[in-house]
Amino acid sequence: MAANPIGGQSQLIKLRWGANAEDLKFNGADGFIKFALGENVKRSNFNIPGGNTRYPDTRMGVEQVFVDAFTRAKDYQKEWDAYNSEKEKLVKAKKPLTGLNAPRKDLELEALVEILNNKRFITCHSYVQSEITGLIEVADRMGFKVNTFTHILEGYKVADKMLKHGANASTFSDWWAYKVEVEDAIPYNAAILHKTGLNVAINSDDAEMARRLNQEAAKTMKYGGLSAEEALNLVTINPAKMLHVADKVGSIKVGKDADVVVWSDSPVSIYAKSLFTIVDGTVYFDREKDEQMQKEVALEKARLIKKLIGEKRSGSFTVPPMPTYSIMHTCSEHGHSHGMLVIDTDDANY
Amino acid sequence: MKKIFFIIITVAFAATCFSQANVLPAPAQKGVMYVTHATIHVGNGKVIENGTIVVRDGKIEKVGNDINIPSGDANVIDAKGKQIYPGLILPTSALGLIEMSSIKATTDAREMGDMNPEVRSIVAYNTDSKVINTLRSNGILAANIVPQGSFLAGSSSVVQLDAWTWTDASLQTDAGMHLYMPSMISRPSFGRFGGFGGPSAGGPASDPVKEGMEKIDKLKTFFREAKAYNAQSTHEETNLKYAAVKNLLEGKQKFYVHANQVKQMLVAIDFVKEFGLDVVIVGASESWQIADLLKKHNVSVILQQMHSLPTSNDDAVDQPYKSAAALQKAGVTFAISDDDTQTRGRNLAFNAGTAVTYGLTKEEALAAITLNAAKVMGVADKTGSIEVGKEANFIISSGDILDMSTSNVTDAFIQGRKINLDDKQKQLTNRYEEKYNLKKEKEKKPF
Repeated sequence: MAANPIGGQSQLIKLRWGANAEDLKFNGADGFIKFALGENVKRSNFNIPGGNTRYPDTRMGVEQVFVDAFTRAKDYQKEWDAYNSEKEKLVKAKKPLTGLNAPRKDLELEALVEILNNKRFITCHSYVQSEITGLIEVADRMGFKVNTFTHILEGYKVADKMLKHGANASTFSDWWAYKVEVEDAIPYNAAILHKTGLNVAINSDDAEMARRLNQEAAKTMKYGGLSAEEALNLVTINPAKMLHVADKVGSIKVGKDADVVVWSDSPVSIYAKSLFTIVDGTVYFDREKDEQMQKEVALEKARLIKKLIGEKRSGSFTVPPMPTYSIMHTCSEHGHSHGMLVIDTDDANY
Repeated sequence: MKKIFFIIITVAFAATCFSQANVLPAPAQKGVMYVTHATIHVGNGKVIENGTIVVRDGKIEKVGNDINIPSGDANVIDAKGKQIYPGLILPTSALGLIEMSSIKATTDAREMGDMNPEVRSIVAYNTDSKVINTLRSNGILAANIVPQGSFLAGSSSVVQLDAWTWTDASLQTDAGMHLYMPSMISRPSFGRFGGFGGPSAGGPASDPVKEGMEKIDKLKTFFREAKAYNAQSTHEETNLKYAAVKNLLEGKQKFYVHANQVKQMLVAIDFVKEFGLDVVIVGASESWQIADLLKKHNVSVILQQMHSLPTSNDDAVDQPYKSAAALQKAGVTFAISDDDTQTRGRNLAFNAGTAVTYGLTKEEALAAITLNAAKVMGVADKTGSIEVGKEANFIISSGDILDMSTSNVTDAFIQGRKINLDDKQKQLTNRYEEKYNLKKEKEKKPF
């Protein structure tokens, strides 16, 4: 979630449908961490009784959260370095370690030290040019890299700065105007970023749109005139590069993981349907087989309903029907319906 | 020289203002205009190859491929190799009512209260919204401006998207009345007092069918009273709410019922029988289950959730994509819309494109966002297709407009007026292409 400047560690997964949490993990992938800037972090669009009372409440404060956190992380590293070298000295001299106390272990700062040592990588939820420039400046000063700016709807305004810093960009295709920080979002963003030389991907935080990312990428052909090949790269090899897994996935090449989709048409066309989805060589979706299974489900449903009606007629105990709802984490500010049986987490909490 | 200087000033202004203040509504079209050599998608299923459209004083005078163009200085637009479509119509939107959904001061779509038949969306429609031009850029030239609500929400108007004020924007004022049908399915109770559960966690707190039907019964009583009221020529006391449904009860207004569940739609069909209303179901995510019944009762439909997850766990993963084909097969008159309030309406043609992938023909899908949308909204006599006598509302695209990889609207005409297709986002793009010196590449690959 984007509620905090320094969010939490993320896990890259593969969509091995039906596997348990552990088996979904992408083996050997680098560790990442989510950062966030802007309105979510300063709680602009949330109904907090009495208003926000949490620091940061402005983009000024957000910058200082990062400065403070990385200053502490560096001090923490220094403390450990000093302790370790003292310990080494004593061990070498075969002296007792009595009186030498290890610094207090701090898991939050450990994660930040990993970032400073290029062992953990940042994806940062970000929108407007001032805050993007601000974080780049803090990162350069403190000696860390922002691996990927995500959402990055005003990235086109500071593409040169992002390029110089060495960041990647992962953006929405065409959403805008649902809050102030996306007022200047433009659908040409991805194409401009791409043309300036950045490594660009298309993402969505919408549960339905995520399954049509090929079409979202295809919009860059309309907005910015990218070729079909360039558009498809936005959702294949480019994101693989920014996630440091391009040696395993992102293109069809000898030696890479057998993660392949068979389409009925060019995948940048609205008329394309996925026919087979294959992960690690295993077919996880087969359209023909799926249609067969749907027929079986319909028959089973009809059978159960008939049985229920029979039970009711024979006077058995019945309870009123209750549909199966699912709770979904959505960005409610986007206002995208997910059907009548989906309940937004926000609604479920209050 | 003076003229060149003026052009430079204009371009500089266009590139730095971002308010779209430089995009002026086009003046009335006068005289005769020919658009030639195009593939014309009429909107009614027909396609005319190498066709010509003759426009006179804002109306379509002739359409065909056997039209002679007079020699001399006739006003001719050569659209060789291009596709012409009727101006697209967005059947439901809060365009112009909501500028930025998270900022309350910019939202005027939902009034307080359950019974607001007197509320009219048209008076809040802001022709200067920056969102409007981004929809025009994708070929949307008309929209139904719909009030939101919790029950009887008020009336919508159909507008064309090139106007100085809402009075000249309006194509059909107060064209329809909107009812948001109460939910008829149980929903678990939440939070501290209930906890997310289901039957095993204590069961539904209330009976939604009973509660919903009580509300509907009250509405029936209201309509009966309104009918009696409006049958009288004079009144001791004026009742604005009764008066507000006069046109509806006389069949001069469409009755839009926002409903997704089968139960809600059945209640709607039953409800309108007594009052003889011309009903349109909006949303209609489960309409595919009762398509034949909808046809039988002559109910038309606006599908709003083309790009949505399936409604229930038993549904096919692509059910929302193929609902349109089910309605088509049953012969239901339907339009395709979008459930977003304002900005994402520009993806209307791609919503229709998805319906093609899942069973419609391209011309059937086009009809769902042009002629059939106009029929559903009651404006098909004025717009919706490229046919003689209608307003000259059409767009020119260099490629198939239903597919985002080929859609490219180069020209648009509203009432024969060639409208300015610039928008805030194109202006920002221009500004930053200057910054990165991308202009030359842009010339190679125009968009």
